Amino acid sequence: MTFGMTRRRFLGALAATAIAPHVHSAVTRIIVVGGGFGGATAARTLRTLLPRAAIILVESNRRYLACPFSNLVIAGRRTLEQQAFGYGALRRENIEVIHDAVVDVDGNARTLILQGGQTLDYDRLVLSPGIDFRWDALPGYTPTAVDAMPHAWKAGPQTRQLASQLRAMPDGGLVALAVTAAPFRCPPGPYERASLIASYLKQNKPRSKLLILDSNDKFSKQGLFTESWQRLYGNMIEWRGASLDGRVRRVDPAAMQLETDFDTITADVANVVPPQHAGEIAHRSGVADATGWCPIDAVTFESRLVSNIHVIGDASIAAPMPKSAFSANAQAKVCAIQVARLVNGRAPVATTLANTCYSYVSGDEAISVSGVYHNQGGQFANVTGAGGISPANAPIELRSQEAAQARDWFTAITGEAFGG
Amino acid sequence: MSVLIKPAARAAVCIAVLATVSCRSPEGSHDNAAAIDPMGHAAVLASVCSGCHVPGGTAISDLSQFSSARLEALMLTYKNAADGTTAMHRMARGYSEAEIRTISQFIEATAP
Ligand SMILES: Cc1cc2nc3c(=O)[nH]c(=O)nc-3n(C[C@H](O)[C@H](O)[C@H](O)COP(=O)(O)OP(=O)(O)OC[C@H]3O[C@@H](n4cnc5c(N)ncnc54)[C@H](O)[C@@H]3O)c2cc1C
Repeated sequence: MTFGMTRRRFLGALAATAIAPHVHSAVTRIIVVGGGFGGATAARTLRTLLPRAAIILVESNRRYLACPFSNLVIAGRRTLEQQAFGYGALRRENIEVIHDAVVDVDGNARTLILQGGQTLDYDRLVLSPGIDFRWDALPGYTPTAVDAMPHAWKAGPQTRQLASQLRAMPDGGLVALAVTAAPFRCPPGPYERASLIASYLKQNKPRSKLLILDSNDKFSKQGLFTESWQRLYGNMIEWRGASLDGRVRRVDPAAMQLETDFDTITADVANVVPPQHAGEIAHRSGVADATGWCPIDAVTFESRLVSNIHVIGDASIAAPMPKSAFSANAQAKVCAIQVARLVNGRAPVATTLANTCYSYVSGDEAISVSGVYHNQGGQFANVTGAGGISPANAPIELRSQEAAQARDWFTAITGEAFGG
Repeated sequence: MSVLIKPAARAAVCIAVLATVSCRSPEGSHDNAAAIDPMGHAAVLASVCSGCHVPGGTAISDLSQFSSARLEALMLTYKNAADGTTAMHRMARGYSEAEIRTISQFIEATAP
């Protein structure tokens, strides 16, 4: 259905009077779970496309702390406050924002239960719960281990914890960065973190070392990171891939030790990027499979396991799209269009999505990777001939230009998710 | 919905993605406004752009300053520059000429 403007504004005005929260009526109810980059963007887009529907966002936290740019916080180049976003704009747009945790979803009854005890029903559910950690997967790395060995892979107190440990460390100390096997949130993230930790050390504790213990044999933008590390930090960063005995098998937080197959490393600061899977609620809802992630139809983002539930962002299986904020935002917009079409009795439409991830290699320079993706047999596939990374050995001006682009990107994407 | 009435709040909605028609002047003076389908294929293709491009962007350009003809020409330049290495070169290569035209027209018609 194509709205003329007058009609659309009229419907928008009608919606204000028609929505009565929690009372099931003829009003279509769309619930979005998770108010991060995926969920907040999805709720706002749905609000615009479906002015008559009730759009409800359930998010545990009153403030969202963004992971992108949180590595700059660790390096002392930004404050954690600059990472914080609220939900006021969403409320003003007539999205009902509920701050509570969803503890269960019944896909047959199309209901969900909040920790506060309330039951909500939905016509369609959009899940964007991000990630949770697999506490059973790395021996020794328990929920209490994170004080001694922070992950800082969800922004917040953990980001502060890692930053203050680096500040407390003696010059000449060893920082270990353990990286889990792919897939994980933000493929270039660990290497951006290594870069920014090194930039902090170079300035403040130049005799220190950073050892990356990697469960992977290659990584995102590897050539560009390696070249930048050499140029900016000399031999400060050492990378040990999986085949070079880099895989961490066990950690001992009390002793600050990380064990590989043949080695035990004692570190002054140990940052562990732990094994991950889709956010817990995806498992409770039955939309996650044995991989720990959620299989979806790449056109509509509807779960392959439970109908009327759409999964976007980090929790979804959308490879070759990376688990990034950029992807979550792009998927949210496209998913919202498809949900709006379905609500309006229209068939889904074929899609093309794209992603660009910027990574800082120092506080002032960045590199990037891009891809374009279309649907092929219900999955995503790379559009051949497109995508790629920043040029190698480029002049510093180009790297600082990409850092400026990264800042504009952050403004754009947080504005789109959380409003001005 | 009050957001559609208060100018300040309306500006906030316009920053959101696909707030298309509601961002136009009440008179609907724009020729394309009626033809723009906010749930259509063009909307899907163009939706990715606003993840980076915002009004007031400097390192990443503000698309609302360009006509659709100019947008199309720029995108085609990116697509066809064999030695181009920017993020826009890498992404423009993923779209056909027809898609580039569709995206350019959609962006012009929905610019705030
Ligand atoms: C160090 C680091 C750097 C990064 N840098 C970049 C970058 O430069 N560029 C980029 O594109 N990406 C980056 N990322 C990745 C990015 O943060 C994620 O990909 C993105 O946040 C995914 O969005 P999402 O909506 O899937 O999940 P999230 O943003 O994590 O949002 C999930 C939300 O759901 C809520 N939630 C979960 N379960 C429930 C429940 N049961 N009930 C209620 N609420 C719930 C959570 O509280 C959370 O707010 C980085 C990540 C890290 C760790």
